[in-house]
Amino acid sequence: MPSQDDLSALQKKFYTLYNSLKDAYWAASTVESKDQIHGAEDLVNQILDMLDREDIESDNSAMADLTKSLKDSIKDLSDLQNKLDAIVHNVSIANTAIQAINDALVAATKIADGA
Amino acid sequence: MTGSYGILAVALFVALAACDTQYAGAIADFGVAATAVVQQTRGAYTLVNDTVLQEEILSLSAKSGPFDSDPTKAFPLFVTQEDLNIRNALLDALQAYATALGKLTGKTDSDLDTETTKLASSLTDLSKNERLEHSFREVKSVSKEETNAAAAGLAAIGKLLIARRIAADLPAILKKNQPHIEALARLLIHEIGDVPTSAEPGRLRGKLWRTYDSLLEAQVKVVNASAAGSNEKQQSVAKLASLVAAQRNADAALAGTQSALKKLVAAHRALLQVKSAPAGFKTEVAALLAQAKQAEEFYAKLPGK
Repeated sequence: MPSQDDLSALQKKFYTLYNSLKDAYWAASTVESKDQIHGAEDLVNQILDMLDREDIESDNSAMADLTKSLKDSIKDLSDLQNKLDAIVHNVSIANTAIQAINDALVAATKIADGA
Repeated sequence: MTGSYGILAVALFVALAACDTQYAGAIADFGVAATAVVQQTRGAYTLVNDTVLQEEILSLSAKSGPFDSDPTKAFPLFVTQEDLNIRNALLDALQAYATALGKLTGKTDSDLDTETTKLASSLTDLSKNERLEHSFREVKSVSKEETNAAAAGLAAIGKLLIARRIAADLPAILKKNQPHIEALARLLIHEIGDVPTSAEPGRLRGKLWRTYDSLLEAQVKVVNASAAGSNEKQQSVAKLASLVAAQRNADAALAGTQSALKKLVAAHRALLQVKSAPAGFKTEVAALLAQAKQAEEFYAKLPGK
């Protein structure tokens, strides 16, 4: 089971990612690219809701739900990470979001693989 | 000898009456302030639940195919009814405490009524109920110490409600209950949380802000889908502008509730010194009531009011 510290670190990384994706959403210039980022935001939102509300570290079923959502999100976030350069033309915003995805994936993988 | 007892009795009566007069006005003001803060906090929970519900329902428009769920069951409350009941019990406790102080200094009948006895019993039960801790542990990063302190506060207020007290006990009651009032307020303040861009994001303000973000993005889609210069575009842009303002105002309402809870604690602390520093109490209560008035105006403007 992950520790409270691991879960707090995960929550911080996902909030940072959330804020970076918001910036990327507004910087994206086409409806399609906004939709792609919006899809990733939905995943991040879902995980933040779980981390915000559940007594996860002492609840096996909640932990299993979180792990499943993290595993699902890892692939989608990796896909978006590879596309961000092309769909967000503001280099600084794109790089910040790519780094935020990277950090969130490291934290998510640690929890998902350790469960 | 009988004469001495008589003088002593008169002196005691005068002292009690003086105590009564010194505190009565301030306690009555504290009662008004507590009522305002309690209403404001109840409004905060309603605001979050209603906004999340609104976003969930509106998100249906982006989905294809028929809606095949029972609408009365498809949208559960974000803060569930069971959890709302626990928060309402905490707020009832704050309100009942202020009323109990008022009864000590006021001229109203201080006999226990059935409602107060029932409330005292429910507060005592809740203070021992594991559900209290579990309910707040669902809000991340609320510590066991915080919920334990709030439970002790509920138990203390429950006891106060059924104890036979007199006005002369008031200073001791205020002093004893200061940490309990702080514990209850701290728990509610913590649960309200902060916006995603803050250092400690999450909880109710985090959720409300993210919900508005989703509403904004959905509205941007409507704007983008409208033909330039059309009435539809004009209306959708106006709606977008109002959502931007609504996000800011809704968050300000929750931040204002946190601030009002802090001011209630400060006003209670100032009550302890009301005899030596009456101006301090007046300042605290005036600030609190000004904030409560703003919140009342905000909640009055919400749809369905």
